[in-house]
Amino acid sequence: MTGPLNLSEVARGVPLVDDRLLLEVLNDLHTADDLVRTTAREGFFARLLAQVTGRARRRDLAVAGGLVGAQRGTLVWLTGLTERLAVTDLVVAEVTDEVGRIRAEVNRLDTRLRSAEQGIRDLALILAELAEQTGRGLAEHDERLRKVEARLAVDDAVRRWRHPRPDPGLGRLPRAVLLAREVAAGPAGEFAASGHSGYVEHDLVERMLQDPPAPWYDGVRSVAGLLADAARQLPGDEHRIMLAELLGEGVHKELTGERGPLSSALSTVALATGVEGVDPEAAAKAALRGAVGSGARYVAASLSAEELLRQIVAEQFAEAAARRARLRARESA
Amino acid sequence: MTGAADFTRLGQKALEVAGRVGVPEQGTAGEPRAIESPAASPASPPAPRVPLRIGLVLAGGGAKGAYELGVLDYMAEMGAQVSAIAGTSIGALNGAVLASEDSFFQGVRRLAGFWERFSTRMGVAPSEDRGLPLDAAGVAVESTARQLARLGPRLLALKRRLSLLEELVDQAVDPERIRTGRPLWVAAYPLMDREAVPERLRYGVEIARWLGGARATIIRLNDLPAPQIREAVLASAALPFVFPTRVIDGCVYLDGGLGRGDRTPVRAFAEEEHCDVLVVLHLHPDARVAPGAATGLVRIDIRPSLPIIPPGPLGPLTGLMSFSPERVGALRALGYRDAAARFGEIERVLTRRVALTGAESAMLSALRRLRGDRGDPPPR
Repeated sequence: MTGPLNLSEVARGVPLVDDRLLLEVLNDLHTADDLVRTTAREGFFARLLAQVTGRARRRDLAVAGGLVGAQRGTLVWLTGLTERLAVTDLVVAEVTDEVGRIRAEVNRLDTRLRSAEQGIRDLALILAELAEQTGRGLAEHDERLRKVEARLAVDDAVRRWRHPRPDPGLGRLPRAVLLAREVAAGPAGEFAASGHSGYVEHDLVERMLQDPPAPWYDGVRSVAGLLADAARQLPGDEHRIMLAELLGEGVHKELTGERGPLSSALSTVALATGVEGVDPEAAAKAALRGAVGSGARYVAASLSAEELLRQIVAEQFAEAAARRARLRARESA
Repeated sequence: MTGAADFTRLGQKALEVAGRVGVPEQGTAGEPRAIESPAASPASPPAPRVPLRIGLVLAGGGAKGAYELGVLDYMAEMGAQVSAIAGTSIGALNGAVLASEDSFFQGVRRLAGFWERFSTRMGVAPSEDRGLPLDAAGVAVESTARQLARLGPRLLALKRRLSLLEELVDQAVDPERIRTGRPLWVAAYPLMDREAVPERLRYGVEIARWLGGARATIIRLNDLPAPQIREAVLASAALPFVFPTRVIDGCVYLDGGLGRGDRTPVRAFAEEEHCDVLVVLHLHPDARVAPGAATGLVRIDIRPSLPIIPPGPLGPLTGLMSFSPERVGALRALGYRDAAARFGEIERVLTRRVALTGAESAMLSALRRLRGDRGDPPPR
């Protein structure tokens, strides 16, 4: 039994049937066809003559020879074609094997790929958690830092109010309002506006109460009286106007926003007594009447020093927060 | 400084990556690579084609030779280049005119001019065939009575126009070109040496020789002197009792078609010219090459697909001598159609075989590349 066909040897050693064989097959077929067609056209006498002369026999032999030659050539062609088909089959088999190998390789790589994907997914989850925890830690750190900055800002402001002290002629009430206004406008006010207002305002009030060590006044006093005293104690009309302007008097309401009742009343009193020469007591009562309202605008008729300072600080921090909100809104628009 | 918000964004990006892992991108993996067609990726340079030596064999048959002109028209249009020519009788005349030009195309044009002049100057009235029915080949069908009536005039016309024939041969055949050009063989029937046979016995001896199967001689014209070339061409076409015999190199010759056996001089090509392909133009639907004459040669036999001999007992003679322009034109057109059908079929078959070879080469080249990519040793 012969061995299996070797692809390389077969492809190298078997030439394809050449044009010569095909031409011979075609020619033999046409010869047989032409002779048969001629025989079919012959009439009776022509056939008789052909039989007598032997031409018919020679023609029949030529037809048979042509057909035999065509069939022999076809057989050779088919044999060659069969061998070529064997080559093609071998090639197909080899390609199929290769496809199988590639498929196995692809499956193996697919498994590894899935494993790698899972690893990447796990790593991404870990990174997400790490980022979250780091962010949380940084946020806490950031908060503590801002608290320290707020404390330092309060310290700075109070220190500057203390060394050197501002003009004593300003009076305690204006100085308290201006100090609270400055602190609220700075980093401490910003820290307070982020949800820590209670802590910062309390700390400022405590520092203001400590300085000077002697209490401002004992017991409770009439707010109107305090306002009148504050306006009366100011050195001159320039101071009154300055105080009123510092508290936002004359500035468009769109820029100052809603002012607190105490700062509004104080600036009104200062302006009335300074510019219009109104009696401070009357001006204070009128100003307080006009500024005080209900809800957040309520101010008791009499307050202790601590209560007064708390109200003043709360007002200034609220005004500063409102200014910041307006500014952010304008910037984002 | 990187703040908490930045880490939040980083965390969200990481989650997006975790959710996206495993989703294949669009338009990359999974698309099958287009299979290259064999024509798009030629495997190896095609083997240089060695030009084929084509031999042309032209049978004899008098006026039926116009059929050969039609076949040659088609071959010239195809751009065929013939390496050697052989002919008998009218085939020898056609071949000699062809060989008188350097290019095959110009030779066919020259031959067409010869036929036009010869058919129009044969004395046939232009309206001679008017009213006659046409056969399948487009040739006027003459009844036997008409053929009998025209037989004498046609014989006389041929005999009287010998000088016209010689004049046209002198115009159309260029002996010098033939001597230096492609091989040209003609078949001529040799008569016996006159000195060897008494005068009164000559005809009987010649008839006995002919009945006994005397063969024609194949003469290579390129080796003859120029005057002898003319004689040899006229000898091959010298119809007995119509045209005179011709003497070539001391031997008397008549029409080569008289020879028995192989009337198409294929033996010359089989033994001498080493042609690859023989194109044999027959002038009878059942003409064939003698067995064994063309052993080892690839032949393309072209025969008239329709009868070109008029019906009746006088048909062969009429077909031999009727040179009317209409008949010549019809035979020429038939020859062209038959050649177109035959060569067209050959071209289709060979084109498909070439395509098969090309496809197989592409397949084996692809296999070699596949083995090469895998690192397998190349096939020895």
